[in-house]
Amino acid sequence: MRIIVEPRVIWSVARQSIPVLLVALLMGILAGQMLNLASSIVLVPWVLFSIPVVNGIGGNLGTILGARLSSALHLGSLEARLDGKTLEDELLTGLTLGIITYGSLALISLGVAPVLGVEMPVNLVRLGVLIAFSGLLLTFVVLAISMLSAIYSFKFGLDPDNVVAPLTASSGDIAGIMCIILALQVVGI
Amino acid sequence: MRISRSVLRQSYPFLFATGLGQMVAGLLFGGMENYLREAPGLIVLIPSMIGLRGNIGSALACRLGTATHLGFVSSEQIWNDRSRSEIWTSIVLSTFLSAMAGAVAYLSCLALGVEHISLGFFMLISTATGVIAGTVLSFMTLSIIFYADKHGADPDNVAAPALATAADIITLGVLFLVIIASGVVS
Repeated sequence: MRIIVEPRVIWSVARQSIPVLLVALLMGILAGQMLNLASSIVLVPWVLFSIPVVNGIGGNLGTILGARLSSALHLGSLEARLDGKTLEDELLTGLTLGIITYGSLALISLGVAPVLGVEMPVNLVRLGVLIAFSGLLLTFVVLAISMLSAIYSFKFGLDPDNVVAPLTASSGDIAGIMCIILALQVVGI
Repeated sequence: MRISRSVLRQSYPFLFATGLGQMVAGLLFGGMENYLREAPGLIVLIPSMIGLRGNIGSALACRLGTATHLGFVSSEQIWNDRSRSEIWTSIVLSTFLSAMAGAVAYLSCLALGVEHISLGFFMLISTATGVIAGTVLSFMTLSIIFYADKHGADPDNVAAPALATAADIITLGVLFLVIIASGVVS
């Protein structure tokens, strides 16, 4: 089978993705300005090292919960309400997943980061505490964003599958950087 | 209340593996410290560059995955009009939106009145990274689809998560090289 693709087709794909990508772009610039404003505490190798780890896992956690909630909403096993046992179980599972993932990565990072040659803080443990603590904070934020966006998009007749993932990923980046800056106040700079 | 063990069992290994991949991205980000210090405002660009590539890459993976399921693309027919136009679209999007990210990063620095590098450097660095990283990632997506289809795996389960992590690492790696080559920091 030979499919002839005209420039028209390319444009139609581009046109559909551009609005979502523009929103992601603006949220990304906002996240970038936060990093820039906090550059005096953030521009340190081991802090920069932890940013992709914390944000990457946060985005994935939110996407996993969002995908599970939207499937459950579509299947009817979950009602579009903020209470109920199914929702509680899902949130508790997401929280547990966040705690064990960030906990184990925080431990592993103490071994991996020095081996990779990342310039470490004087007190090595601070890297682990930073990842674990900001990760825990971010887990709560990301679970809330993906729960609210899944339930309310479904309530308003939108397909959560199209809404939750891009929304969680881009707002998760901003929230992640805020959590890291907050956690740095606790860990010490 | 009940915690679902099966969800933990299925998701934890995947999350842990992406976490290890993110450590490589973190290593690259940490390595840029001196450049970010000496080129004020450059850090503004980084989250959106990473985010854009992740979005464009996973959308391409999903679209090529669907095309595989529909029989338009397969391991025997990997380089045809359909896959070519998907790849072309994603490279065009990556270039166009990266150039915009450079301009928006510059404007946001102007608006906030913070110290920043010139518009020319912002746009050179963002556009060059967009073209190079976009091209590398597009062909990488196509190879993942090729191998998944050849070995009878469902590309939908493999390509998008693998791409999301690879996008972070490759974008930061290309960005690093482009920053050095641009001469923004002597």
